[in-house]
Amino acid sequence: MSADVVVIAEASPAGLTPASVKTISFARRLADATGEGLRVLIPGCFPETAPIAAKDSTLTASGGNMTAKAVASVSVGVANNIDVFPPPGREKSNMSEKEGKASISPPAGRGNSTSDVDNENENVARFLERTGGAETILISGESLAAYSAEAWMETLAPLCRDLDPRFLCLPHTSRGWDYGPGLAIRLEAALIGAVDGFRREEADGAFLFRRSILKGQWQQEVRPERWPVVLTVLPEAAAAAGAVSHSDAAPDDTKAQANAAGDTRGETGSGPQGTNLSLSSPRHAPVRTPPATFSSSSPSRTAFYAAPAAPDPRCRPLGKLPAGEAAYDFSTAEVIVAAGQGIGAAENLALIERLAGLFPKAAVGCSRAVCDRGWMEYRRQIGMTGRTVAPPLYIACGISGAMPHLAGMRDSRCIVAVNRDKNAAIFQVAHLGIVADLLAFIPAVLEQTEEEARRAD
Amino acid sequence: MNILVCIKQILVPEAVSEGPGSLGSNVAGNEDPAAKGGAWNFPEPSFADDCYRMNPYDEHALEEALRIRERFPEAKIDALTVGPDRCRQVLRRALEMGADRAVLLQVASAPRKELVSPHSLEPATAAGGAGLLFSKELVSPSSEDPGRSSWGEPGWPASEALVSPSSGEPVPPHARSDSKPAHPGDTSPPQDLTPYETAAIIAAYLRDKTHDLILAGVMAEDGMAGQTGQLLAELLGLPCATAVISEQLHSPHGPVYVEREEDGGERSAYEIDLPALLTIQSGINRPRYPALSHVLRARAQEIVVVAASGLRPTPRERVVDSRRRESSSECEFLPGPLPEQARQFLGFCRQRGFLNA
Repeated sequence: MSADVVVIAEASPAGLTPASVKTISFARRLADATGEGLRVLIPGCFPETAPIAAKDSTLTASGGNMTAKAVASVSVGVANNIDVFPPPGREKSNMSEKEGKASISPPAGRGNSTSDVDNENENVARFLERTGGAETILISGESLAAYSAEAWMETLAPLCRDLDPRFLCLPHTSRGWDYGPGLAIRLEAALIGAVDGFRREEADGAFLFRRSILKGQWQQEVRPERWPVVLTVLPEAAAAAGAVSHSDAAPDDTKAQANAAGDTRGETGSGPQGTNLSLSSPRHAPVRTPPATFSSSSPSRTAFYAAPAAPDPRCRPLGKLPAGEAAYDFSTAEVIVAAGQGIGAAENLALIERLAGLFPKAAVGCSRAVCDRGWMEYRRQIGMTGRTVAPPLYIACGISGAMPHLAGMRDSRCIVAVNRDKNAAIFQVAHLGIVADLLAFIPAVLEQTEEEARRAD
Repeated sequence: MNILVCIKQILVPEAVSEGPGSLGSNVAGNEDPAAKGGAWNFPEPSFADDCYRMNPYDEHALEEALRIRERFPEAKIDALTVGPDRCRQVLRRALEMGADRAVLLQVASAPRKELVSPHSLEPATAAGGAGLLFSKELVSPSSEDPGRSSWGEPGWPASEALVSPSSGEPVPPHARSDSKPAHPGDTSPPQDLTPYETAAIIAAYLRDKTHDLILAGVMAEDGMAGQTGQLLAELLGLPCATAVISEQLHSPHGPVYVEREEDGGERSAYEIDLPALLTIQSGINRPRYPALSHVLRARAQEIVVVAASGLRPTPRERVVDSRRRESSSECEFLPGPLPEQARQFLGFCRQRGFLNA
């Protein structure tokens, strides 16, 4: 089966990032719509060229990358064949589906006997499971150990050219956003960013991809004029049922969504993505296999691909920076009151604080615009480049609801939005909307509570 | 040292927020009466000057260039934009802020009626990527449809009033609230090229020029794509970093040290050889207001205008429709007046146990 849809996923030490899982879920819809296969590429998920039997490296050790050993040993359990791709030479044509793969058997002695390996198996199996049973290619290489757009493009462009999909789906993250456009140029591909849904034109079956513009108040539909098309996919695209006219979704599609939804809930609270997928799973848990619904269509296959060495990178990663100011801890808050540009001036933050003060367990956060104006510290920023939160109640005050902010709060259980503009995009995700001027509304709320308190006395 | 700052003139989002339901499509024959809001067959729209401004992220990029020039006074800053004649406005602003030169890559706009359907992609021929329908050339001049625009043209019936974002006063679409004359003959809608088209035009123009550093905003506030910079870098073969939140240049020859912002507010550091392209994230600096002396000087400065319609590439993706997002059916709005809204809000919170009864 040819793979018409390729996902380039991102891995954290614990496995695929939630954004990647959702991108896979979206890609599965696309694959279902085209009736063809889905492949998942996972660059940089382990540092060594695979597969080697390292002795004592564990997933937790470096806080970084999954070991080749772990992946390889699990692959034995999940898939019955492990293929090793040779690194592409300058001539890239020897890599097509049928030829150029050296099939190897796993080296002897790398058994599943030690608890160490079992533990890794557990984690890596889960990691592979989240690819939804799709054919998975794990890409290793030193140049991928730390992210740089240059290294990812060097590795992915030739590989994607050989895989020759029609759709290339990347999570719309700070990475996908970073290297996706360059990758599109290298592939001479169409490019559509921040996609939150798709549908097919009834007349000619053409794919139309939906995205937001103008602070989320407007939407546009974009149509690729050539193949392949590189899509950077927003998390909501995975669940955007209304947007997708493809009605005969396969049962496993629902399952994939359920998985994605499960991730969302796991992602509540603060901290970097994936921290909740803890590494402390039971040590002797059996290797998981993909759910039957996934493997029914085709047996899952896992392959390794060694990234070519990058001799003279022009862009050299120097590493992650230690967090200058500790991230604000939103995890214990039941209610988050968030201020947006609509508060108008720093002085008005006092009103936000007073509104938050009404609730027993409340925290105050803000949108990026508020931080950029110097009204609040960046450590309280909620959104794509700030914290991701999902409290029981989120009160958005004067926040327009542009995509980057929604990315950080849309999974909150209950969202109340206060905004003067009834067309503000925040109302698209809100459960309760109040069209009012904040500077009048909050005093009215405070007055009301005081009056009630007086009456109670 | 030559620095290039790529600037976009954007339509102020607030100016569009009160408009009708559809920004239209650049694909003819796609009229959908249900989608109207009365706006589908709108007359040629015209926006007041103050409905346009420099993309705020580009202001940060320009400010960063100005700060580099303060360190290396021999540096020259070129400000460049692509678009119709009205984009002179943002170049003037760039000169006022302190750019040394300004270049308008002028792409003419044409009345909507001349727009041609681009429908040509047959699923059958397109399948599998084998039969690419378009030239592999990065930049293939196309003179056929100079007026085609990418995400459509915001516009509304002539009777609709615009709200001027600066004054809050209604501005009739064809009248002007300030003394500046309308650009003669320019009744063009906000014409927006796709990021790829923009990048290809700039790349074609830059082919025989040398810049040590190219800066752009991380995204445009209207189109929100955040792609033009990366596309341009790749077309020019330059290394690129996006969402740069800190930059240090110790020598005009580089390398440049940058910190880029990642998800969750994390930062990663990179060292990048020059020439390079950086897209600048807001928060890296606070853009200056033009000093009066610069404003006066800028009046005497020339804006170089280059006819660029011939540099337009064959588009690789096309916007077929832009419209206001339908209001969500899930959101329950609390009716006014204010005290009633406040009372119901508190009731809502109590009912769900967030507030003590």
